[in-house]
Amino acid sequence: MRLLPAILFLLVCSTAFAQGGGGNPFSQSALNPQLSAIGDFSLANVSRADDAASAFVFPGFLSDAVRDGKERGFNFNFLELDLSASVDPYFDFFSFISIEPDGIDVEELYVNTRQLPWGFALRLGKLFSAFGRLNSQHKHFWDFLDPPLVYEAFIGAEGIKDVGARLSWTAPFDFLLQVHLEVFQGKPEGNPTFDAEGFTLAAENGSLVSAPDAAVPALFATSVKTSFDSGDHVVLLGVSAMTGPTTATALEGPASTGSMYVSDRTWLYGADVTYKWLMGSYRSLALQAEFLRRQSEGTTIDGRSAEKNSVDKVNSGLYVQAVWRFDPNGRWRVGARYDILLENESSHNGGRFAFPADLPRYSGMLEFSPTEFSRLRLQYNYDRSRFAVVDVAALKRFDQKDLQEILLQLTFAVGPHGAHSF
Amino acid sequence: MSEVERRSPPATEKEYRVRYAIVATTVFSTIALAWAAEARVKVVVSYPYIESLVKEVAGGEAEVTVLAKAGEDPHVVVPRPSFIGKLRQADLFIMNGASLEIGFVPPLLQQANNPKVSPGGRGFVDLSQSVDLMGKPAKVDRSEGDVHPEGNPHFVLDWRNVPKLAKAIAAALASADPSKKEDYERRLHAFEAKWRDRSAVWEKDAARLHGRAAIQYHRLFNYFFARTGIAVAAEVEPKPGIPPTGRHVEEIIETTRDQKIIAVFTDTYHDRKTAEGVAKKLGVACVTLPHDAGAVDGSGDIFALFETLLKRLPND
Repeated sequence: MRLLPAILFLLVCSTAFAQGGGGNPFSQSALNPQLSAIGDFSLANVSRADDAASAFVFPGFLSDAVRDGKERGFNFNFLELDLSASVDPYFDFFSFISIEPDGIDVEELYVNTRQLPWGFALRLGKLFSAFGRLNSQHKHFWDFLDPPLVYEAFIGAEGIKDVGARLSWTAPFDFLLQVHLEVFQGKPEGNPTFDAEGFTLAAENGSLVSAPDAAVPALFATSVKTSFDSGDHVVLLGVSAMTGPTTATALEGPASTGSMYVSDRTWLYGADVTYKWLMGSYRSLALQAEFLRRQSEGTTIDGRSAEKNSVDKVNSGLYVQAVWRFDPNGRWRVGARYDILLENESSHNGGRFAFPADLPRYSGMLEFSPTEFSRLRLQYNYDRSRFAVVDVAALKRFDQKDLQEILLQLTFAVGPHGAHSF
Repeated sequence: MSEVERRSPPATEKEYRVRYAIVATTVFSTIALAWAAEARVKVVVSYPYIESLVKEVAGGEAEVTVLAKAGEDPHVVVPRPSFIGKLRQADLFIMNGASLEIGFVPPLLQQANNPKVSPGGRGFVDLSQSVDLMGKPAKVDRSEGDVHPEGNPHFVLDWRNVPKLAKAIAAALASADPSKKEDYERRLHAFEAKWRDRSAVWEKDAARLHGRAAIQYHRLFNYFFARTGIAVAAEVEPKPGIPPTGRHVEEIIETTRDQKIIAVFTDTYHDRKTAEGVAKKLGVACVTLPHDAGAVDGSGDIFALFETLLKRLPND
């Protein structure tokens, strides 16, 4: 029944856009917004049962496993409906609605200003943050089916998207220099790092601990992007920073289930580099790397005793990937990605707690795109970053579990021609 | 009280500031005016042929940046981020239109934050609006391949379209820089006269191939063949943007064997193998034609583009 709203939405859309044309003298169908749809499916073979795989954790990272598109057998991942049009001479409108098996998600819904002077533009509404290289990309632009480990661990399955505003400035130079300033409400969905929402924890010993919502807007970000090219070689660099409060369920050290981690100021930093070697119209080699680091000072609240401990956390990680579009018609791509979660340190009341660090994953993919509107992708992951939680006398212990995934993904798009960013 | 008589009291600090401000303003405005007089119109264009036309009309008075590389596929230009910076500074953006740039220009313009050259702005020029397009599909559906709903976008290859494009470019330049309107018009008229002379020669030259037929790789040279009176017998691609298949190649050879095919024409960016195979089976040449100024050696400007196109047509 969760699909019911999705079906209703589709019906409304289809009747709205089926009208117009014909003999209606008042038809304004020429003014209909552009509508495009992207469907995504996958077929997965995973070395461990779905229940086990989705219960695995990255200890110390505050995040839940993201298993989108990776459950054994066939997966319907999403139907993305994109609507866009100019509102008037002053605003452009964009919306990206993702219909997924568990409901409808308005991924983005915003207006962009068209007329601001001196290279400024404002984006208002619900939007992906410009943080990092991948965060603002919709899933169908990714080079792999799944996000890199650093994104999964720090940013979550859905990317950092929230209600807010972005001011962008493009410098009047012959190379790219762009600065983004963002402010968000602070309650991005499914985000393990940032959440301004208050909480109430009912500890097993009967005591209640609660905290109110953080003052909003609570989440602030800035990023700078620059790019140079020389002949067929193009480099794109970016640095980003984001800060806001954290409320998360935690698996912190010798604590029991139901523990919380709260911080009124967590920092997330990112640095990314992309290099492309363009070989004619259809061939290219793209290397991309991104480093993320999170620093947070906060408090854990034990789910059993409601005992509070002050905690300093530092986590970091990176991914490096290479994608080569190699055939004369530009239909085939092959790629490899190396992921690693590096630092994973927590000090509890001054004492250091060692979580497992240096957690790797290795991925490879082969892609065939008959046209730019359809794509078949085969991906293999060898994942050594996951741990099972073993509860020994309320003392948490983590066991590393290898995970292998073979994924076959089918993506197709209809509607107006989508343009590509770099 | 001071005992010293002061005929002209020394300037107070405030007076110095005022004087300084006046001098600074004068210097700066002189520099600014001199710079403005020297400033050339900044023009970004999508393709090299547009650059050539801008240079014909503007002479050295425009600073032109081209997005696409001459020999590469005009449909799939990689949107380099530096283009965003160039569009940010542009007074004019002149594009081909008819969806040829649909895959790379929209995000560039959106990120450039320059209302002057965004759609609806005074400096945004879509050349396809100045000519009549051929090959407008009766049915727009992607099962027909990568079709352009507006019609075939490669209209520059009809030499009779070129003066219309030059005129649109002159009008755009004049609106961006009204002080040089007369210069632009003078150069436009000179260009038109020269073009009339050259195209009269081309018309005569092309007459020898009237009634013949050609095979092309992609629907790239339809305007050129229409102007030269050559019928398009087939495309090596089964559908626009779809790579050739063995079955389609057999079909082409079957259906065109009895026609007087002059050559199989391909371009600089598609794989030549299949086109060469078809040409060999039909016993004709496989010829690479430039689709844009500079796509092959010696086709560097808009005149050389047409000279090269005609020179490369076989003689019999």
